[in-house]
Amino acid sequence: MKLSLLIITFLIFGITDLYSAETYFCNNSFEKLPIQQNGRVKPLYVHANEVMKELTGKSDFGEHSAVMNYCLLSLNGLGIDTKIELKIKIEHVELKKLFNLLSSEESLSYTYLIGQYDSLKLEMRSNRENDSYVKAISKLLRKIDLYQEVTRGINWTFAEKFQDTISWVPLVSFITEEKFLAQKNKTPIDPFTPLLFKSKENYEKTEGQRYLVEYYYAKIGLVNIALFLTISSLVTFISVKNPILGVSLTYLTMIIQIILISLRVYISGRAPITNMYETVLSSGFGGLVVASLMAFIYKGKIYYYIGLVYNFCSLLMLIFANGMLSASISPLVPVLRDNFWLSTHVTTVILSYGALALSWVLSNYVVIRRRFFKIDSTEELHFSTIVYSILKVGTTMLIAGIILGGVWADYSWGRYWGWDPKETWSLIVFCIYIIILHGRYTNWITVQTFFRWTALAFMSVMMAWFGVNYILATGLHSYGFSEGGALFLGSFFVLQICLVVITDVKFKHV
Amino acid sequence: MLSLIEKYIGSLKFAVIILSIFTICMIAGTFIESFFGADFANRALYKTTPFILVQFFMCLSILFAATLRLPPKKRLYGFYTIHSGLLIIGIGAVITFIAGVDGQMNLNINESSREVSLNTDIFRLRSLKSKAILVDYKLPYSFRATDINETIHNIKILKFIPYAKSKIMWASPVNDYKKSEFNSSTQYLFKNSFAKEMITMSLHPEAINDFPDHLAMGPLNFRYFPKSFFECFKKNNIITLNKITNQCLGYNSIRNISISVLTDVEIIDKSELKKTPYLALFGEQAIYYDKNSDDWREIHFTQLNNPYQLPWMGAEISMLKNENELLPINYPESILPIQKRGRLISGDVKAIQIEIHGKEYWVTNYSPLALRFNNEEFLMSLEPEKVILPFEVSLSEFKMERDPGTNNPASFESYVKVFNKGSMEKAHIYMNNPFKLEGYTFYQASYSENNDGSYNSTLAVNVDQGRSLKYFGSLMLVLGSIWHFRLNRKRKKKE
Repeated sequence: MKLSLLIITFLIFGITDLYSAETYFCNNSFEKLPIQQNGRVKPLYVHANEVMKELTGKSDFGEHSAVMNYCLLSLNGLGIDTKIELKIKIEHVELKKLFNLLSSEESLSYTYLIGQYDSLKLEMRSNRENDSYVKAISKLLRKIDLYQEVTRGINWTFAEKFQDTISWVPLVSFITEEKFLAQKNKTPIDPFTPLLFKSKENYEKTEGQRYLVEYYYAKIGLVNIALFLTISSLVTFISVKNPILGVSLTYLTMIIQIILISLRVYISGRAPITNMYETVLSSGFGGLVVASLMAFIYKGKIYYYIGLVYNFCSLLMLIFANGMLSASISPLVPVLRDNFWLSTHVTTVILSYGALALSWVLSNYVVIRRRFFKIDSTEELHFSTIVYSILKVGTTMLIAGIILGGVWADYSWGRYWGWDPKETWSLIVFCIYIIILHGRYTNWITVQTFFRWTALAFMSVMMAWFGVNYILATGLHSYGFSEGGALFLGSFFVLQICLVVITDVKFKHV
Repeated sequence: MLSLIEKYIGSLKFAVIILSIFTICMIAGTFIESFFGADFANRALYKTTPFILVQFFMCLSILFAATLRLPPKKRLYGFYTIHSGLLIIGIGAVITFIAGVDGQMNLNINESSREVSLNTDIFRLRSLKSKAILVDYKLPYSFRATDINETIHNIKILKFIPYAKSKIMWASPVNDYKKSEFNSSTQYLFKNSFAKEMITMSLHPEAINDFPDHLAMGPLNFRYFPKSFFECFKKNNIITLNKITNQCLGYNSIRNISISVLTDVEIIDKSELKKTPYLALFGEQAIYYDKNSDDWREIHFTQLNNPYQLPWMGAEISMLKNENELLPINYPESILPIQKRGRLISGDVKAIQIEIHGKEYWVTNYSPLALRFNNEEFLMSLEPEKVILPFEVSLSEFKMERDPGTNNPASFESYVKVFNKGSMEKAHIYMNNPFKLEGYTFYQASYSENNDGSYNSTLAVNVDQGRSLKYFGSLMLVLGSIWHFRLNRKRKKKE
């Protein structure tokens, strides 16, 4: 093995003059090569971007694209020092202290970190009590492991055909001396590219080109388009008097999101609601659909506004909250592998969250408008009726979702209700909204306070949706600076409470 | 008076109050669960009388809210449906709570069982001779140490601790033993840059289960021998240890050992021990191999708590206690359990304290107690309460599929055989595909891997007589909500 590596290295160096000095035979046409990693087959473009994002926090690092960087790093496994040095940002306060980093210089190179591997492990063992620190270290160790896997040429896998089945072999075993020499006879200038593309040919012969859909899906960046269209629709509604253009743009946004979701369904082969990323995507879209339906039935631009604002918030989260919401598609845990229950239960719950989010947007709008601008009581009453109707729709869908979840749990775990935190929190959300609905009925909650309560109540939805995973599941005391989810939620709660308090203060003065 | 109560409990304001209490309890419950684990939350809140009372008053509020609005009015049909649905769910839940079974069954390959373990605990007394179960005493479903003070079969059950941590205590043996170095126990403190650990090792028959005479810590191996074996170990290359006669014999070569001495004998080849760090402990002495000087070195613990250097990454060892009379016992100390990443990391010991003929003993879920009194030998244990199935279930195959190229489980499936009244039935149980028989439903809940690489399948076993009521009530609730809100909308439109 070592001998063949040496020969290959030699041969590569023998032909390097044919390539630019830094890139060897790596090129962006490799983007479409299939690769099997993390339990599924995907185009290299998608995988390389995921790996680079994991390692450096962004997909393009330095002057090269993710695929180029990934390819160059993998070449190290063939004994070629490609001089690519990846760096990682250290964010955890205690980790920074460990490496004596000042806040201005936060990045460390992986070459340096590999040297620190043992001392990091030691540090982790001797700080067992400090949960968030231990987590930050183990996260860093995982990244170093991944980096080493890539640079050893074992992360990049290729399809090899044995009889009629495909098996996946790493780069270092795929390029054998024998294959290389044979190919060099055929294409002496560039034996590598055709050799690597053999993997694509092998795979496509048996499995077809379905995996390439993901390539186009990732390339087009439909989320960005949807965000752009959402903003455009909002701007149009505000600036153009005739709503037709705004409505058309809203419908266009929905069409783009339908394509986005459908492509995801096609790629993953399941309902688009299996991780946080997908639930945020679906609820934003669901909220927009519910709002548009209401606009159609009750007539009024306001419905489009709230639907678009909520969709805008969720799309913004998808694009910028990378640490919390991972866009990658990965295989499901066994219990979720039931498309019927997954589609019915989760979709209902997520749609209800979408609907409740609309009430949140509208309530905050009223609260802010009342505090900083003007609103007359008829308008306020009108808005309260709208929020009330949205809550009715939302709670009905939520209870249906909870019940469907109970039936599913009964079917797969053997109990209808088990006081599991996720199910308990969904019931808490339901109870909170029911309290508001009943309170409104008794007039304990007046029209004025009604908006404040509904704005605050959405915090329970956020807790059930994200908090159970990001705060409760990890233990309350374990959130640190590296925990994007807990930080996000905390900020959300603080902002929402501040908003309600600020608007309330004014009210009492008036 | 009655109608006044009905009016108050059926009022919207009471509904808001009781719902708020219920919600606050649930919020607290989820945080309790996050800190202390699901079982603790069930014991401390969800399955306690006060919380059940809250739910009872909720049901009462729902009921009276509906009865107060009788005789039926057309516009309230949806409302009646919602409230009846909720009450039916409540009745279903009560039936499940009282009569239902919710347990687990652990099966190894080719193992068959009739026992389903529940979440409640029992104290079991068995005769060792006849194997007959003499007592099954149900322990309270509490979340903290609870005094019991009840006498059954001459045994006084003093206390039950549902969550405990073992604390090492030194005590006299339960039965009479000769004071001997072959019953000795020693406690050491081992330290290196990775760890600081108390090592307690014993040769005493009553302690060796909890404090074995050998221990591996990463690549490090510790072995505890009787004091008199020190010279034998030191002088010879090959040693034989006879466990019956407590004799250590030394040889220079393996060829010198005659076959006749090999029964009940352990052979130790010291040249093998050079390969990995190995520390032979003899109470107040120790021997280890030092690679640097290529020689066996000795430690004499002349003083307690005095550290001695070892040649492995800055490791050191000191002796804390050396006993020939007393023995170490794991004394259960009641604590609050700690859960991290869905697992209890502290507090997984359950214990009961009992008194027999004026002497106190501990029985834990990890260490049952064998004892002779009233001229008979008994075995006392603390175990989960069990339901005996009317048929036998045997695991014939466990299939595990993983996501391609990874270690993540994609699916785990149990193939079981059920022997019922002379006939045999085969079933395939996997996620989202339960198996039903005679009211019992079996679900694939979990699995674990044994040391030999084989799997152990965990099936959830469930009897739920309230199921159909809960489903029916749920359906009424959802349909009622839609009906109610639609009717209201129509009414408003008309207005």
